[in-house]
Amino acid sequence: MFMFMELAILNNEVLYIGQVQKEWLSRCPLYLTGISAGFPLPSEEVYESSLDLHQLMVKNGEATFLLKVQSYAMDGAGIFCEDLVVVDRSIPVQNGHIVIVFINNAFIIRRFIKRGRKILLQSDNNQYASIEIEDEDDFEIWGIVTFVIHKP
Amino acid sequence: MNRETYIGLIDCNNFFVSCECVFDPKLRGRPVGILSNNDGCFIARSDELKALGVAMGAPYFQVKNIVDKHQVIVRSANFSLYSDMSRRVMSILKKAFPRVEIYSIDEAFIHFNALSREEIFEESKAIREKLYKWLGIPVSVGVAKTKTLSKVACRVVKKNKELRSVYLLDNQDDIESVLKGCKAGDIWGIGRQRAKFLESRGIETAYEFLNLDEGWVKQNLSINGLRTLLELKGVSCLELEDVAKNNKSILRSRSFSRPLTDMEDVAQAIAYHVSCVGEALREQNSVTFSIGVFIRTNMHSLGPQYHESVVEYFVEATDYTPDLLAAARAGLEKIFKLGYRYHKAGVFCDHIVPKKGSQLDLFKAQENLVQKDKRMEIMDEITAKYGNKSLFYASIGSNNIWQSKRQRVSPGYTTNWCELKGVR
Repeated sequence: MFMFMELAILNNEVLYIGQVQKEWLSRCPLYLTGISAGFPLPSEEVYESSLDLHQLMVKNGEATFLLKVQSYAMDGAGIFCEDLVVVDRSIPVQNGHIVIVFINNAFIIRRFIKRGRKILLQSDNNQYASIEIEDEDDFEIWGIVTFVIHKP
Repeated sequence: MNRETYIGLIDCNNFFVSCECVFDPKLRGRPVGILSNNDGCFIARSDELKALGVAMGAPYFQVKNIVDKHQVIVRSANFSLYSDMSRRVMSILKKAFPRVEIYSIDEAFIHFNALSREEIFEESKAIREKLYKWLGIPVSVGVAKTKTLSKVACRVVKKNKELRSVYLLDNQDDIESVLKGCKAGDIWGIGRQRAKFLESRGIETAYEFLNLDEGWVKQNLSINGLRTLLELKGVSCLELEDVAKNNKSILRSRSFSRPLTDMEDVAQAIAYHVSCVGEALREQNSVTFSIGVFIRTNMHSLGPQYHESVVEYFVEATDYTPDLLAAARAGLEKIFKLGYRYHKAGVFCDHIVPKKGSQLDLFKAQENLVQKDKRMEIMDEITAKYGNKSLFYASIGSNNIWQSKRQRVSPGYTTNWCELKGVR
């Protein structure tokens, strides 16, 4: 029977020295963490990792930016003043998307509606008038809103 | 035909200005300039500012009349923003191409996926469009058989709007006519010294250089000069380097926002630079055998002038900031003289070696070293997480009397929770 020496080291101190059988060793995972006493932490096992909000909200990290909402224009869509919006610039715009638009020297958040050749930047709040766009050159779609971060 | 046949150079146009335009599109089409640390010189210019004759590196005060007359928009450098945008550009390139060499904050060499000339042209146009759509960053793409020629192609692209930002330079006649319009000194790899030497021999254009005898070039301009010549002839001598090279020397310096006369104030600035050097060393897994310190007065101002530097050496190479701080402090005490108005200070390391390969006395104070490493690790982790104002060496001080002026800096749109772009 083969015997092996096992050392457990924590904080540069040897905590445990013992001899164990080969069969036992081969069935045991090799723990890289120190063992103080009793049942070892199963930290080296393969488990699924913790949920990561970034993974949920950011599909394309390179093209994603965070912006801060400073108006009530999209209240109806559940996007309130002081909320953060996750904006993906890589997504092609579609009818009904909530978009960030640069128009008249300002960034605004509105719903993108296309009717025939006309483009409507609609707010989801009666207090705000929708913006009708005649010439495509007068505005720029900066990105598409994909998530809202709201603190209740 | 193998993949290495064509090399592309992706070069972001007026990168710092472009980054500012992403979050402030009204800057587009206007003369815009970015100032260096301490708001001293222009380090980036929009095309419109270039057209006004403001040169790269021009001191702000020298062109102030142009700035006022043409309502030039002037910004302080926002390096947090630029490096974040650069990281995004490079990350997109790495996902799109099989090999990428990050050459600088705004340039990268690439190998293409496609094999044929036509497909490579299409790929170049596609990446350009993608970078503009995803990031709002316009780029120029120069494609050729060698790195040096791709640099030439990129130069051509930037000067000719009708090329629409992509130029494939592989036809011999085109190469020759382009090189006829280039100064030898404009070629990548021919520095100022070599250009001067060539000029003294009557060689002014890159085309004249191209026709030189290879043996003569090797003899007079060394093997590197010969490499440049061969590269211009379409023989690839310079490989793409995937991994960024570690710096063999590190320098950190900055001018003060106002002249300093007290040694303790200068010492704080030095300590700050030392802590940056320590971080840089550890990040590239290197240690240094020396640390140098320099201080100087303002050459452009009246009054007594003084500049001096000193190098302190270590018996064992180190990356341990407290050791570096102590040595730098000792150095400063040797060179500091009262009675001068100091304008700039900095620290530098010229004897850097990889940490693994450095000579270590295994039997001496090994444990001590492990502990030092651990301390630095924790320090680096905390400052990475909470910013470099969260935890710092006492010798740096917290009054920041020496900190630079950045009066017109844009918000940290992508790096600071409190400075996100607002939408109405």
